[in-house]
Amino acid sequence: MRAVLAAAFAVLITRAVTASAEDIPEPPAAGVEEVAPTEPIAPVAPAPEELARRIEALEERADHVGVLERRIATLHERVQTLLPMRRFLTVFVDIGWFSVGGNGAGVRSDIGHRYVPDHENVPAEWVLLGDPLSTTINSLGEPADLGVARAIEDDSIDSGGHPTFLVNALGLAIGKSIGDHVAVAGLVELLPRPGPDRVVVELAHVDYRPSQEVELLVSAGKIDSVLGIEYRAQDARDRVTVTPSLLCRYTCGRPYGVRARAHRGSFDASAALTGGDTFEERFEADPRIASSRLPTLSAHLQLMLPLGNGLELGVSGAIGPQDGQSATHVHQWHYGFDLRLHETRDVSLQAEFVQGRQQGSTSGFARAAAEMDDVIASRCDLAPCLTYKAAYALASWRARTGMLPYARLDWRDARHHRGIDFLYVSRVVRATVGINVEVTSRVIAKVEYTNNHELLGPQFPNDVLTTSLVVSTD
Amino acid sequence: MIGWRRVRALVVLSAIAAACSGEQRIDDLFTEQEWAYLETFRLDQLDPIRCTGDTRRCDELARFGQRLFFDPSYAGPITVANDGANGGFGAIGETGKVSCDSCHDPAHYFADHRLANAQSLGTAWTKRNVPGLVDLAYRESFIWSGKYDRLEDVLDLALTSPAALNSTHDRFVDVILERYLATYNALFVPVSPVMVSAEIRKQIYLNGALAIATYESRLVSGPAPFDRYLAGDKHAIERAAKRGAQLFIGKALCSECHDGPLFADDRFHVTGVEQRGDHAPAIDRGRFDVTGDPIDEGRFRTPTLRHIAETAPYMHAGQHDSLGEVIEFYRWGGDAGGFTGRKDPRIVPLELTDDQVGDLVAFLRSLTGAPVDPTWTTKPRM
Ligand code: HEC
Ligand code: HEC
Repeated sequence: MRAVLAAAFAVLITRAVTASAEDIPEPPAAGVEEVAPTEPIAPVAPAPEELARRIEALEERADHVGVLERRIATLHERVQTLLPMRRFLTVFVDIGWFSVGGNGAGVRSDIGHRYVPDHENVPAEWVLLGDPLSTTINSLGEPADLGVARAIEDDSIDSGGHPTFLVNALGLAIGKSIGDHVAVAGLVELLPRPGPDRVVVELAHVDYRPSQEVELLVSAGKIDSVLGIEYRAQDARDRVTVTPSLLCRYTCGRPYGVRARAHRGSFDASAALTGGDTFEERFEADPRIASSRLPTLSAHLQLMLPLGNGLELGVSGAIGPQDGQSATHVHQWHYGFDLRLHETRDVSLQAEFVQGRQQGSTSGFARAAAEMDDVIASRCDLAPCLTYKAAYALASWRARTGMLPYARLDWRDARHHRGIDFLYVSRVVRATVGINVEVTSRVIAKVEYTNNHELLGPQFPNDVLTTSLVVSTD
Repeated sequence: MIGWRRVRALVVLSAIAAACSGEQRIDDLFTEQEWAYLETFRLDQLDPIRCTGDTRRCDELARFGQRLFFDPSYAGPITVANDGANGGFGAIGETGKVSCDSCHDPAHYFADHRLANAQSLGTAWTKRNVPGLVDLAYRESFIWSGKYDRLEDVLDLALTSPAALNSTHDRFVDVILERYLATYNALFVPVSPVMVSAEIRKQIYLNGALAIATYESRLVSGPAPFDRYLAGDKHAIERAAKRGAQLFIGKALCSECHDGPLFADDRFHVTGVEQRGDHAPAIDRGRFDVTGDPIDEGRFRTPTLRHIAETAPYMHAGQHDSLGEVIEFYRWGGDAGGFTGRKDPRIVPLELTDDQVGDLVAFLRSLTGAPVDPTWTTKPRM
């Protein structure tokens, strides 16, 4: 959502068709004044030591000014996200080429039950090692191929391991404000795919800002998650990397519901009440529509520390009934920590850790079968059981204007089990390096290489080389 | 500068190469893990069957068993006559016409090839299909329901079943006393035909059963083409069979039950094969009849798949005629109904292509081992 709004304001500002500039806090000049030199300039040539001292002082001030400028820019950015918009329409296209090792899939069966002895009766072919989303190739998180990953049925790309050229998305971001307090926004993406083409409504919400003085924004509809920080820049145009991290599947989903975000001083808080969770794993047919009577509650708290250009520390959590099943007592929880260092000395950092659990549910038959010898049944047959831990750290460096090399380290440890249908035992680390080049403000090119390393089971080729060229109208 | 460019080009190229690299494959097909698993199916993983006692006596015991196996003289009266088409062994009331090899045909790995899609005819119609007897001694339980734990115990069924020999223990013992006394006395504690107590008759029966079981444990096959392939002969089997092996341990889920060197787990499952056949009962509760445990309802013992191409028809009531039919059966997740019990959850539609069905059949055909030593499969001089 923020992405959409940010885009909206880019338009607003460049076109200067609004009066929103008035809402922006004091211009940078004010900050500069504070530290403006007060000593008179010496009329005679000063001693070299004196000169050195002054130069040093000047440099220090210049540095300080830089810091303030950036801080103001950050503030500016934040204010923008909380402002009502007037109108915008952005069309963008994201084109990519990728090549993935092996058959393009991130999982392999545990043939002969060699690596997972506690397979709970799940046939070897359905015990999967690796991570089905470790071979994602675009910002939507679509894997190059699903291979044997039978739990996820939607093999949208199905490349079979062949280097492939793809139009990742043709997107349309729209927004319009109604008066000073209300706006509507949406993001629609067309995905040309083998098989039927798809249309995905990523976002569709109404925003309400009660007053110009308080930094509070309430959104309702198909909204952004509030968990962690990766969701804030997950669409191709905003994302530094080409592909999402391994934990984005838990935090980047866009559920239906209501969300509020408030900001005061160094604090930023968001909370949401949604019909489903924020999972993007695509394990269920329609994970967005609530399947139970209770909503999911999620929240994020963030503190900005004056380190470098600002260090954000956040904590978030969610609790609610488990998606994809009908009982309210079967619940799931999630919590996470995040950290973000705003660009300081040309370096930006971002890291997250999450942990969570879906309780799952077991039929009476399967429970009884556990006591019996020789009955092929398995727990979690009514609703899957899932436990996960995952983390990533992403660093980028502004090498020169518009050139942003980056590196990411990713880890995930999860066990996902549904009856005898599937058992994923994922223990994976990944190392990603890439470069993001802003050719112009409307053209971004990215190239990225990911090395996948399985911590459990055989190593198999599933490294990913992927690219993305995003061209947008604004 | 030029150096840098080269380096960059190299980095990019090697990244592409790494990303495109194929998987390490054995014989261009199997992953290391698959191959390691396939090796657990090798015939030479089985310990050779030993007869306790000295080898000469064992051999003689087996020869004695062989004669009993091929001897029809202790068979009881026929109750289903030969109608010219059913392969029967005589007219109603005739005795001494049926022997073990009447149904367990030595030319076909001791299975019954006479009629397709049917049960077997001895003195009458059996309710189940005749299993082959080759490599049987390696197994842990016997007959389709696993009723017997020891090979020698099966004789009771074969002898007294109204459908097999329709005979009695007494008749069997009488034949030993009349026709095999010298052989018997050379092998066991000698008996005198004029002084046989009930106790001694029982001992004679058990010794006869032991002899037949000792004979049956000689019916072992040699390595199949598939074993030779695993041992390193890359040309022992055709490509289709290799692909079939991969499906067998993978997508087709066969090895979930058909596991180990005999391709059988010695357990009991409901595959969901419809109860049918002219002489099959409407309901066959399988393992339940042995244990009385409701979870065993409709379960049958996993058969071996060694030399399976030679032992048609297939399934416990001979429901399928050909291996192609069996694979089609599994392909669609078993029959929809007509069986008892709860179908094993691993019997599900398999999404196999027609080619893959062919591959699986080719694989099953590669499991026919070198035939049993002919001295054991030919009818001895009586
Ligand atoms: C009418 C044909 C017929 C005759 C004759 C016959 N059998 Fe069988 N045999 C069968 C059938 C049918 C079965 C399977 C029985 C079941 O599962 O209920 C069987 C099973 C067996 C088994 C167990 C095989 C396994 O896979 O576990 C053995 C051993 C055996 N028979 C031995 C003999 C011997 C020894 C004789 C002769 C004394 C004999 N049979 C005569 C039909 C016959
Ligand atoms: C759930 C366990 C299980 C699985 C999985 C399974 N089988 Fe079976 N199979 C059995 C059992 C049990 C029987 C005997 C069933 C009966 O007769 O009622 C059998 C019978 C057979 C037979 C007939 C054997 C004979 O002597 O009559 C063949 C051939 C066979 N299976 C091949 C396969 C193949 C090929 C696959 C994979 C596509 C497969 N099976 C999967 C358990 C299994």
